[in-house]
Amino acid sequence: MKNIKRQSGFGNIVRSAWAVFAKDLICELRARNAISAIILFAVTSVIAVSFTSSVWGGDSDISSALLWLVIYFSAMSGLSRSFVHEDEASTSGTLKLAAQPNAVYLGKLAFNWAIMIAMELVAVPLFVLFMSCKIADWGMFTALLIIGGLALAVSATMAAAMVARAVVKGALFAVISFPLLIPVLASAVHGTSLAMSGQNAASDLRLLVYYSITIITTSLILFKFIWED
Amino acid sequence: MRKLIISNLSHSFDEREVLKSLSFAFDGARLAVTGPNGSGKSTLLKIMAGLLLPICGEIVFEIDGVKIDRSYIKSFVGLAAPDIRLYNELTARENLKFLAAARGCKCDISAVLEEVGLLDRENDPVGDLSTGLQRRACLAAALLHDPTVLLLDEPSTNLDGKGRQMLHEVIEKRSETGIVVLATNDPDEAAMCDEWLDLGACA
Repeated sequence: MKNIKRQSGFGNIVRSAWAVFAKDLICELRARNAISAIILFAVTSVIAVSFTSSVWGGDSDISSALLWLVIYFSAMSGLSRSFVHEDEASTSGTLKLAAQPNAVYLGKLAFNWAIMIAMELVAVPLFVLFMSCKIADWGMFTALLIIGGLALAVSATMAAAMVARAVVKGALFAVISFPLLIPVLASAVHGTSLAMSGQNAASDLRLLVYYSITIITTSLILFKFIWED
Repeated sequence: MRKLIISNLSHSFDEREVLKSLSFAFDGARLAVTGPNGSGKSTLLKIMAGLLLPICGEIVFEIDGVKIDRSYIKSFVGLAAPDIRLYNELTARENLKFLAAARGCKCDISAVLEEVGLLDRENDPVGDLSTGLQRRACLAAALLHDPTVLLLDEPSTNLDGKGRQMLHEVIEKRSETGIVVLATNDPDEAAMCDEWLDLGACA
């Protein structure tokens, strides 16, 4: 019998992470465990917000806060599923045997980020349309949404891995995620407000990038201990 | 020369002690782990596979005088167990393709599917397969990377006559050059093995 040593080089981890991402994407497209809930929540909240608060659409501070509230709560409604579903379907053992912990984290992170972007592609145009928002700097606005989505995804992925072992998963996910995500929300709301009014939001964008890099680095060190028993 | 050495192994879940200072040495190709329900058969196999860390003690596999490094153990073992399932949304072939990609190995997926008799149902979603065929698919996943140590937990459960025959052939073939460990209460399966480890007697 030949033995295939588990490769641990960066290239192999990236290829393995890509396999995890592709697997999650195919399973999601076929079963729609998370995306339906997230998009439904996002669209419902945008419509509810626009009914009651569309008069403030011209106020960039209020609009950006409402936009990120919609994004945050939509994300919270679905991102916790990434690891919980593996446990419920008894597939986490299969994943643990086949892929290295860091590949699992990166694959799940990429999948959660893709879900965030898909949700933003639906919710943000609706929000801008219904709230009659004026966006002065579309480039910065889009960059903040993409990087803000990444920052939400990196924290939510780690929190989801932690709560997958717990009994009261839903409540615990929100409790763990909230303090982790306060810096993200504060920067994203402030930066988006500046981008809407045409002011320079580069410092907020930089903070979101640094935050994401920090949490990804920390997660790559810690994830093994959370994922493996 | 194939050896399995278990030294002073203990494991517990919360307050419940499942394995207590278990020591055992095995020199052969096929080992049956037997014992009543709850005696720790599945736990022992999961520790062997590197899925669980024991509270204390260690397990060493030695093939032709070479110790298998525990940090690489998942590359060397294949585990098929009732609570380790494949993705229902993917077909049997897609599952194996994913596992091969995740492991970073080039595996002959068709050969493995043929070995477990699943080639004609390879494009059916695993969730649509019968329980017996799902067990075959899980066995295929365990065999995919040609493991040196094959761990089978209650492998014949839900298998029909043909399935059992296939399983016996797999055990015969894999034990020619590697180690096969069977957790079972089936006397016929246990009889195929060189030695028995009765966890009921160890308790």
